[in-house]
Amino acid sequence: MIEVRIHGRGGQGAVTASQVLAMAFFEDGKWAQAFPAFGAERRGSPAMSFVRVDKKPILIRSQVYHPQYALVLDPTLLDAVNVCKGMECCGFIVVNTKHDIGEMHVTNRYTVDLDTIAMKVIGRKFVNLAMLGAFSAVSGAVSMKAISKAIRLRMEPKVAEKNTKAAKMAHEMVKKEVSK
Amino acid sequence: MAFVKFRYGRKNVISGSDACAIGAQLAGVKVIAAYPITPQK
Amino acid sequence: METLVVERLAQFVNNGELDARMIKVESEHSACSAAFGAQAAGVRAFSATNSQGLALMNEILYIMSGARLPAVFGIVNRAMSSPINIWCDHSDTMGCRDTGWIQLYCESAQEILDTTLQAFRIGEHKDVLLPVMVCFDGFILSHLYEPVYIPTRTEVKPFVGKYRPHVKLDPDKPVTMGPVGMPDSYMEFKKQQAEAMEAAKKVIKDVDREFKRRYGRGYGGLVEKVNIPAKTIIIALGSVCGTIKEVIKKHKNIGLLRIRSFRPFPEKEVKKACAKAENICVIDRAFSFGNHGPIFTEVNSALRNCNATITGFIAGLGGRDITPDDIENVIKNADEGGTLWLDVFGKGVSR
Repeated sequence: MIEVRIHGRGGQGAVTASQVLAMAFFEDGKWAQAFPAFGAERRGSPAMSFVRVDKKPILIRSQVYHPQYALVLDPTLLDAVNVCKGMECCGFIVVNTKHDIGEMHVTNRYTVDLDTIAMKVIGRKFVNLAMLGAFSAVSGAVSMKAISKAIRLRMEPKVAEKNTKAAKMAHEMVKKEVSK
Repeated sequence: MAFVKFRYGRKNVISGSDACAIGAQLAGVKVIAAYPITPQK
Repeated sequence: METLVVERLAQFVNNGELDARMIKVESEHSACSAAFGAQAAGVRAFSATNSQGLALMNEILYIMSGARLPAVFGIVNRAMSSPINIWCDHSDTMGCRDTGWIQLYCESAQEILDTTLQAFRIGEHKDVLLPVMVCFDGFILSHLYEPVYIPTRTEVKPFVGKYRPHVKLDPDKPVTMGPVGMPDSYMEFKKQQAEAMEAAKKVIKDVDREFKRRYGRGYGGLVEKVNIPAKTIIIALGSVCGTIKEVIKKHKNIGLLRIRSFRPFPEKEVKKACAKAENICVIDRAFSFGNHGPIFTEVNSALRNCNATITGFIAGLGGRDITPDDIENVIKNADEGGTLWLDVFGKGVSR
């Protein structure tokens, strides 16, 4: 079983990203759950969503406390919340940022400038689905084919096309970093 | 309201709320009364 | 939360994917009244609500069931304020357990879809004619996305059919609906209502069996049994049963009795399942202040001639997460007896 935690601010689409990721895992033949953290979401305040994946149907319905992956959509969250909470040091964290993210107990740390990709491809700083491309490259757990399909199912056509492109770009960028 | 394309006759990844709504839709309910609602275009 | 159900239906209506009328009302009380009117006029009426909203429509709930109108409502279980809390527990539906509505509790999104379909058949059955609440945990199920098989209209038509009320409000065939029941007849109406709720037990089982035969998916009718008989049995409702199922895989001799139909209460099934058990653990996501958890009380009544130790666990109020560790704690304290509160004030279990 894999557990993923997505960090964003209200309005940045962390919840949508979790739904698309669950749909993608399902397209790849797995069983997945996606759900938001149970806090009242306000625009701008820290929000979290989760994805749980397994090869067979998942029975448990409690919250995620020890994710293997943390995806951070907004770098300002690094000062606001503990994005590594509950993670083992062998976990993976991917942060949308141009800058260095410093030391964390989680050893597998990746940064990717999703803002620039989003601005170039989408025209707005919506990085939530591009982040899934980065996740695919880091984890190898879900295919880009599945992510593209899931984006098309979940988003309206013109939005879907741009976001798929952004996700693919993010995937390529991170793949280079992973193979280093 | 979130845009999701439902594909009938196969498995979809949907929420429990969607599942309830779809059940009511498939049963052909004729009247839905609720507060508050915001009909979507 | 319940608004997600209704918003999705509003979307269907606006897209032409559902031929129905949305009636926008100013309160849940009116929503129930509007549903009553529609059902009385001979169509399938639906609403969704929970928590304070369900409490606000309370008086109309009695009117709907007393008038024997089989509306179906989706209830997204949420706690009652105060303090203000929008997260999951069963206080709202436990609070209206005497209103004469059938209450079915779901564990998964698939079961929600299937049970909503079944609800129309159950309520509309000529031996029942009672309204049905399809209950599912707020946030934990309402906002959780997972794989669900969505049948086509063609697939379900033979099962769910059309609503054929034997009587309805019709100017061409005038009837009186909802008249006075004087002291010399009211009790007879209530006895009939009680018999209908009793008849619902068999209908719920039959409908689920038919559903399983047609579509390959069934939920055990009134109760779902996992590893029963067993020395220790956990009794619970709703989504927590999934977590319990996962935890008991690692144990020998621990079973789960998931109560799917709380109203009517499956007394016979509870007695049969627990006949040889030594310890019964009842998990209540609600509390009846001044006594015990509602399910604990009803299970004790059903097992009054049984020798098992019955321990009640008050858990998951106001959205407090019930983790696999909490279930392990329940198992550890299975022979304590009385009522324990789970994970309160930082204590695993406490009185």
